[in-house]
Amino acid sequence: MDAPSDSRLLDLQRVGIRFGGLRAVSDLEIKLVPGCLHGLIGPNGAGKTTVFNLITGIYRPTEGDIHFDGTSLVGEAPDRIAKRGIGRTFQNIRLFAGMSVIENVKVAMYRHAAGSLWESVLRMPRYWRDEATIHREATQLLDTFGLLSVADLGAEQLPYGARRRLEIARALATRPKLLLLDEPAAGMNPSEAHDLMNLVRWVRDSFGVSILLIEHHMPVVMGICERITVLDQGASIAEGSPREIQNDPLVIEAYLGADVEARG
Amino acid sequence: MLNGLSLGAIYALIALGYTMVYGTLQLINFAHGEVYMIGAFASLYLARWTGVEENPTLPGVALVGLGAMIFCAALGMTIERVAYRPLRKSSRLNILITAIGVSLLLQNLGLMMFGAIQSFPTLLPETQWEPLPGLHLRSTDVVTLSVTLVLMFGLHHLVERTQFGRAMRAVSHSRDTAAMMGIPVDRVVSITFAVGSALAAAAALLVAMDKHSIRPDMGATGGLKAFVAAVLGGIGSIPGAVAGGFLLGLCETLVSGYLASTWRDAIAFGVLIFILLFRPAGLLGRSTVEKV
Repeated sequence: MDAPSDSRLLDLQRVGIRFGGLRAVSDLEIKLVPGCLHGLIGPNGAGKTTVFNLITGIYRPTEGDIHFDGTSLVGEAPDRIAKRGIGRTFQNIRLFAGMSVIENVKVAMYRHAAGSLWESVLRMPRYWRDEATIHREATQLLDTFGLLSVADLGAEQLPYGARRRLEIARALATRPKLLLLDEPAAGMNPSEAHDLMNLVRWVRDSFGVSILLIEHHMPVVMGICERITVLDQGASIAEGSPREIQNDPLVIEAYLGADVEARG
Repeated sequence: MLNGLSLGAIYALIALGYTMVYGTLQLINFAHGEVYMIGAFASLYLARWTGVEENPTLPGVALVGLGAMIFCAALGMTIERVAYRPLRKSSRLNILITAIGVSLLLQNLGLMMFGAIQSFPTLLPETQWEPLPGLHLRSTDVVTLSVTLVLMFGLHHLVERTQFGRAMRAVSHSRDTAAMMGIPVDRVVSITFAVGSALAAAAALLVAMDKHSIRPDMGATGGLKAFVAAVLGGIGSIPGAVAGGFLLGLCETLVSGYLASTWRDAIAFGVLIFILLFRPAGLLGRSTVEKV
């Protein structure tokens, strides 16, 4: 047997999902220890984003179980799962267009600082206190991510890289224990991707979150992740340190192949 | 003129309910007109039971209005919970048909329970004065306009400045994304129905005090006009509903004043068609950009 399950923050046990007759994911195992920066890699169409949708409750697994922080997530609604401490970003950025940068962050604090409707309608003192707290925290968060100067712009007006950072800031505003990042460096050039990965590592260290990261750029993943799970055709085929993954014959066959040999 | 504004204010209040629900669920809540109708009857019975009918005072009337608003808020939440939420995942056409069903059900229940037409008591003193030559002010119009303005500012504050308003806008942008950011989507939708229904109840009381007669089918015509106002302004847009409501009200009043009241509806709907020809998303509606 491997490590006891209570030492894991996230534990996917033989998870599978069918859409009609199609098995999108099967026999998926991911064991994520607290504080880890964990990579999820795999060729295109391997089902990586489906895994995020399973964890966040958008899809309900048809097989297996997903444990988070000791209890099962299966069957819980997405907003409950978010409340339990899982935040995420999206491969195709999904900010709330029509809302300003700071509002995108504030709205994600709904759960932990919202006076009741009556208090807000009647402008009661607690409502003002809550609004002040929300404003302070959102401002801090934007400052941390270098977005304070654009706080009042519409979210859709930001340049691409800033939108990626705002999505991470918004996810952090939900106060997650686990952050799921879906290809945060997609569409960036190598130097931007490098900066973003430094940011990701810094987020893990200073916010004390665990991170599960989907990424396409192999060197980037190998460079910053402490553990990696490899997905192929909807199933996990290997899990281990970057070095173990690089030397795993199954992985080389399924995904890295000539690429790794060429890089030597 | 003031006549048209107060009629427009009523349309706007009801239209807000359509547009808010459409914004969050992309559902045209056909039962909304019936919530408005029930708001009128709730006001009548509340006024009767509390004795405000015989002995009307301003606080008494305000209390009746508040009671009707709370009653309709609960009714709106119940309709959403019972009829729409179980169908949230089925096709939009199914929910639309359900909405029509709920509307007919409530209208016929109203006929059974309230009879055909009932007269509504005079709750506030009605006077008319002429501060400037040619400008006639009716007290009911002044009351209607001021109550509407207060409610609209309240709503504006709620939507733009509070966490609930932000959550509502987030849900209307994307329900899934909002849920994954920890926003309790079901509760937000429920409160949206409550707020929209409460506004309809307020509109109903204002209309009843002005017209002195209420009937179980008033929701069909009033609701339809308000729905037109919502579409005119751009359904899903809150300022749009307000603009559409006032525009429709002014149009109708001007037409009945300068042409003939028989032309009223024809012209009003003509304006609707004309505007939608040039701005398919409505006056203030945003045309949706297909996501890639």
